[in-house]
Amino acid sequence: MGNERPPTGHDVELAALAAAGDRRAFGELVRRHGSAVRGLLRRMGADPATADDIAQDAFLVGYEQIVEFRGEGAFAGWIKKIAARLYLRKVKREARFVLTEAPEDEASVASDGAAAKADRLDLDEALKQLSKAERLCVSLCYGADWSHAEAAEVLNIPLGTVKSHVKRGLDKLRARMAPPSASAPNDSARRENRG
Amino acid sequence: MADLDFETQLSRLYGQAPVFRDSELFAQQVTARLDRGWALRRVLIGGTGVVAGFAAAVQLISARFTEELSQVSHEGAQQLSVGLEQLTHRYDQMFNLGGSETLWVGAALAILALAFAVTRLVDEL
Repeated sequence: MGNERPPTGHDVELAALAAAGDRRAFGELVRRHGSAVRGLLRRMGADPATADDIAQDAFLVGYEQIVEFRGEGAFAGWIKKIAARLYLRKVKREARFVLTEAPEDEASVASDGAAAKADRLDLDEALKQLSKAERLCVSLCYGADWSHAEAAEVLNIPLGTVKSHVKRGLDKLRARMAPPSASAPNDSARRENRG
Repeated sequence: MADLDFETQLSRLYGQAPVFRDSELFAQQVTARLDRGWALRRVLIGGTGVVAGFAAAVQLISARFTEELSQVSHEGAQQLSVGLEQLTHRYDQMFNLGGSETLWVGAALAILALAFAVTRLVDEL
C-alpha cells in the first residue's frame, strides 16, 4: 500500500507534485484551502450547497490546470479566482439578478446602529446588508483580489458600474463594521488605481 | 480598527477563511471525485484501446484471410483448368479409342443408374 501519510510542504511544492500526477498532494491543497474557497463563494452570495458544489468544481478545474500555476502568487488566490469565475458563469447563466440594478435604500443600513455595534467585525453578517450586485463586486475585488477592471471585464458591465457597486458596498460595510471616525471617504481609490 | 485602513482591514477579513466543521469531508469529496474522474478516464482509455485493438485484429485477420483466399482460389482455378484440360483430353481419347459404342454403353449405364436411383427413392417414400 505504501506511505499513507499526506504529503507536506509549501503550496508550490504540493502544486508541483500535483502537476506530476500526485493526487494526494492536491488533496492536501484542498484540505488547506477548501474552507477559504467555500467561504469566498458564500460571501459572494452563493447559498451553502451551491457554494460547496462550485468549490468542488473549482478544485477539479484547478487540478486539470495545475500546470498553469507557477507559484508567482498564492495558491489560495489562484484557486479563488477559478472559483469566482465558475460562480459568475453560473450567475450569468441563471440570470439571477441584473448587475446594473438600482441602488437599494441605504436608510436601512444606516438606521440599525445597535445591531451594527453588536456585530461590528462580523463580515458575513455585514455582507448581508449589501445588494447582490454590491456583494458580488466587493467580494470579487476584496475576496478574490480582482481589480475593478478585471471584474468589469468578466461581469461584462461598465467599469463605472463596478466602481459604483464597490463604493456603495464599502460605504454600507463601513457603516456596519467601522466606527464613523475610522471611515475614510476614499478608501477604494487605491483599488481603482489598480484597475 | 480606528487606526487601520478600512480597505486593508476588509481584505484581511476576507482572507480569514471561515471554519467549517465538515472541511475534512469536503476535502475527501473532492479527492473522491478526482479519483473517480481518473478511474473513469482509465476505463475510457482502456475501453478505447480494446476497441481499437479489436478493430486492428479484425483488419489484420481479414486482410490475411482475403490474401490466403485469393491465393487458394488462384491455385484452385489453375488446378481446375488443368483438370478440365485432362478431362477433355481423356474424353477425346475415349471417343477416339472406343468410338460410338462406348458412348451408348455409357448412356445405358447412366440410364440404369438413374432407374436404380428412382426405384430407391420410391422405396424410401
